[in-house]
Amino acid sequence: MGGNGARAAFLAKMLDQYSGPRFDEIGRIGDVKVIKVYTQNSTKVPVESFGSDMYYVANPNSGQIEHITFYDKNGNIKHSIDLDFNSDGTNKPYREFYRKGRLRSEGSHFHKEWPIDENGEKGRTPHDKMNCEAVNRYYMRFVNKAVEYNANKRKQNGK
Amino acid sequence: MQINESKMENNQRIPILANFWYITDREKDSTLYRDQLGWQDNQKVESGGYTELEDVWKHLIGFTSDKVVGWDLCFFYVPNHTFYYLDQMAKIIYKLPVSDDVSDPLFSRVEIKPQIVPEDDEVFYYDNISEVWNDFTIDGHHMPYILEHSVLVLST
Repeated sequence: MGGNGARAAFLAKMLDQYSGPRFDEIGRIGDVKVIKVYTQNSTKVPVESFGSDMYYVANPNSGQIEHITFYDKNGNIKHSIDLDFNSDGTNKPYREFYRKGRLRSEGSHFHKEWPIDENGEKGRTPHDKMNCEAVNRYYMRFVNKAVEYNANKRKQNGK
Repeated sequence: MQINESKMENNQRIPILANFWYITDREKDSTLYRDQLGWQDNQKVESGGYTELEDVWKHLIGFTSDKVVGWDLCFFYVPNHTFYYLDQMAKIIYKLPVSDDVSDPLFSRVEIKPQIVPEDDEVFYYDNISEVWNDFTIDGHHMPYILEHSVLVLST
């Protein structure tokens, strides 16, 4: 790969892509933007932010907030909250259980870290209590705001 | 070069499935096209600019390190019209439930997120992500073929 300059051309395209709009702002909660990524953007949450240190990320179809993301001073994602809801729209609390000997979980959860491994790959740490866990009290205020925003949106849409 | 090839394909797009995407302010066409299968440009960007099928996989999903796991992957495998979810936390691939309301576009009838599904819909268990690349098959087809014939969405 790259012997014919393909990689250089692709990197140029990357810069072009990052310079354009990658998602739309559809609202605000306080000073924090509520955004939606494009339907066919193929990535559910932005892992970099060049403008904000936090986003509420909504489903582009329903407009309901499904994720909350936090970024460090360099614009890299550092924490994220994946939200899960009961059928009435209230927050579904996090719980862990075992099925077929495997640790499973459901409900809203907090990814405490998005570390970089020795090969330079950025991801999440494996499922353990140090990383994927219940949302603590400090971050729960953001979850509560998201739930309130979603309820207001549903009311506006008559659902 | 792959970028130019995909641009050429856009000029003569091959429709695969009608009423697949939902319509938004920006996206007016609900048809799924052949060039929307496999890794898309923005996913290649996310991988660090890799373009080859396996390279992008290794840099988004199949990390060799056991200290970090990559993205979860939802893939809609076109040949059997089924949504699968590769859950990297649970280390399971399962089928995603699709709501029955056929009047809605297919993509809006599925929730792309890790979830608990009936045990019968859990189709593959693994301990190391390399097993997915080497051993997971659908109708005898391995992951490279599956990726090339699926709509791919990165999730967390």
